[in-house]
Amino acid sequence: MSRLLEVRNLRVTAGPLAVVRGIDIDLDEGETLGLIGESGSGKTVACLSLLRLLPDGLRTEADVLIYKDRDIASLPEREFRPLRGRELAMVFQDPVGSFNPAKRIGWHLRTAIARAGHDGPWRERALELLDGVGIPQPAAVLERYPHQLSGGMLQRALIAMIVALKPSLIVADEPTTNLDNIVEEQILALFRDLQKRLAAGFIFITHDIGVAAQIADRIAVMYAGQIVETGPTADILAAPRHPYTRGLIATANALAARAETLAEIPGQLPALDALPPGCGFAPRCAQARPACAQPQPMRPVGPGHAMRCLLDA
Amino acid sequence: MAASRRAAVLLLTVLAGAMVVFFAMKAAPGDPALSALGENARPELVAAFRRLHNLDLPVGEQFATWISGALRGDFGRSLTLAGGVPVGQLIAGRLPVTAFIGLYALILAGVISMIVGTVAALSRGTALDTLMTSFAVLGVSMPDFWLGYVLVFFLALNLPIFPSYGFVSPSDSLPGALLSGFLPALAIAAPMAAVFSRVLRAALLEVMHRPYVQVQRSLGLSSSFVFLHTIFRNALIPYVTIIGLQVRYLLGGVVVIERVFGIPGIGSLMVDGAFGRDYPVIQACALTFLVIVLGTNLLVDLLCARLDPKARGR
Repeated sequence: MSRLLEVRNLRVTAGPLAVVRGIDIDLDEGETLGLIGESGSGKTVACLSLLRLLPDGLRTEADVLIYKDRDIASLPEREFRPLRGRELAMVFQDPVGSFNPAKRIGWHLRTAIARAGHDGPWRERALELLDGVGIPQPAAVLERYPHQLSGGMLQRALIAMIVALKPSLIVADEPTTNLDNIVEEQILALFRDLQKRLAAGFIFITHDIGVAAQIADRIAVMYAGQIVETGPTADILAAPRHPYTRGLIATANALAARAETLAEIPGQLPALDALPPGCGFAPRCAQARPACAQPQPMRPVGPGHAMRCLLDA
Repeated sequence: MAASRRAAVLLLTVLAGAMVVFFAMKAAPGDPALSALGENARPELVAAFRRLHNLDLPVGEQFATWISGALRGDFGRSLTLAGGVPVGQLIAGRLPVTAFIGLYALILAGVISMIVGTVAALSRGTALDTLMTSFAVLGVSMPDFWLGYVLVFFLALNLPIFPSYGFVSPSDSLPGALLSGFLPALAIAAPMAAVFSRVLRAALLEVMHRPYVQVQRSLGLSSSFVFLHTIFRNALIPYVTIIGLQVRYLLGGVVVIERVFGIPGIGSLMVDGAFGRDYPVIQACALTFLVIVLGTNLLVDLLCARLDPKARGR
């Protein structure tokens, strides 16, 4: 399989504040990376920066930003714009907010189909796309306005638009967070189906390690703007090494087992203007030691498995 | 709201408004007969005048007579104008002039505010935005009658294209009407354009930060497409709503500006009527304005429902 995306030392800053502090991402065609972390860890900002969708005031820098053997960091906006949608696409957290409220679903599909350069009648293609993402009665749905559909239906419709564009890299930013459990399962099933149907690479952002376990080939755990552990999904789940990852998995297991006392990680994310000089997690870590005050490099701990911690290294 | 219910509400509002207009006039001090005939008129003449204009009837009956006539288009006769001209005829003659000036002002305000509001929003935070916003503040703070005189002073008296006084009726010459109506329409439009621009600017900026705009950009749609079909399209909803709310100020402006520029419209008819205590004329003018405001509000409601699917009856 060929390399789709290679990112080295991606940084996003807001003035003096560092939101993303040097992350590396490697993604192959057909591969899914689960990007895990709590709200505020920088995972959404990192992905928005890949599509250059950050609001003004946030600056992106990277040592290496290569997509399909092309250095996309140096592209001017007018050459980068055509890549959006057709090459790199994104599914967002809030399906209801993702649609122009003044336009029907049909308009949205027609716009995406036109953007894909499709010849011939758009309607047939739209019906086919909606059917492909499991929307019942697609002809009626085309006539609906966004506020007349449920979040799950809208998320499917947005995915149908992205399927129309056939991008090679799809970022999904917590696409099931705002949906109820049953719909979440259906949307995850749809993503697994897409993984088979499209020859695309996926970056699946989630705060739920259980979701990542279902969908990702590899997992990267983000904390305070850095990736603190990355490795194959099975390894991370079976043998998490970083104390933060261990905490996350213990919490998830306790939730799954409906334990009486929840294994919670004490404390909270450091504020952006008060990041500790060394390991970002050290203030919350039970195993912290004086050496943690030094910046920690990624250390290999197994095949394809690395972490940013000096424990057992 | 169902159309029939809306029509019923509209009719009731017109009736209630007509009552307010009528009884407010009745409560005003002064005797119309004496002001028409003079303080020293002979008593039998005053009595005849009162009979002729139904002023001898009880107030309730006077209202019933007036409103039933008004519904048939008969607004009574003028108390002051020579020969007691039927008021309906006066209104019919002057309505096109006022409608022309009002519509002209509304279109000018719309065009100006679309340009100013859009430019300000797109250049947010720059000197251009500050300039546009300052003009808007200036526009809001200038009274229209004052602006009318300023425009006459600076434009009409220095440039030979615009007449400083008088008006060519649109039925005589449309270019003449557009030219002679430009300054008065601009004087009425400027304060409205200022309000509209600010609303449009704020609405555009608000919509620009909505998640669906980011989604459309993520699909690689061009910024002009996203602006036109999504940002501008959604900002139109508050914009059109505010235009509907401002129509009554537009009519206030019309009354004053018609006077300033000597335009023979409903506004100046109403002012003349007020000076002469010509109650039938004032009442008919007020009722006409009321119907125009209600009609415009209805139009704006319907337009908003077309623009905003969420506001549409389900």
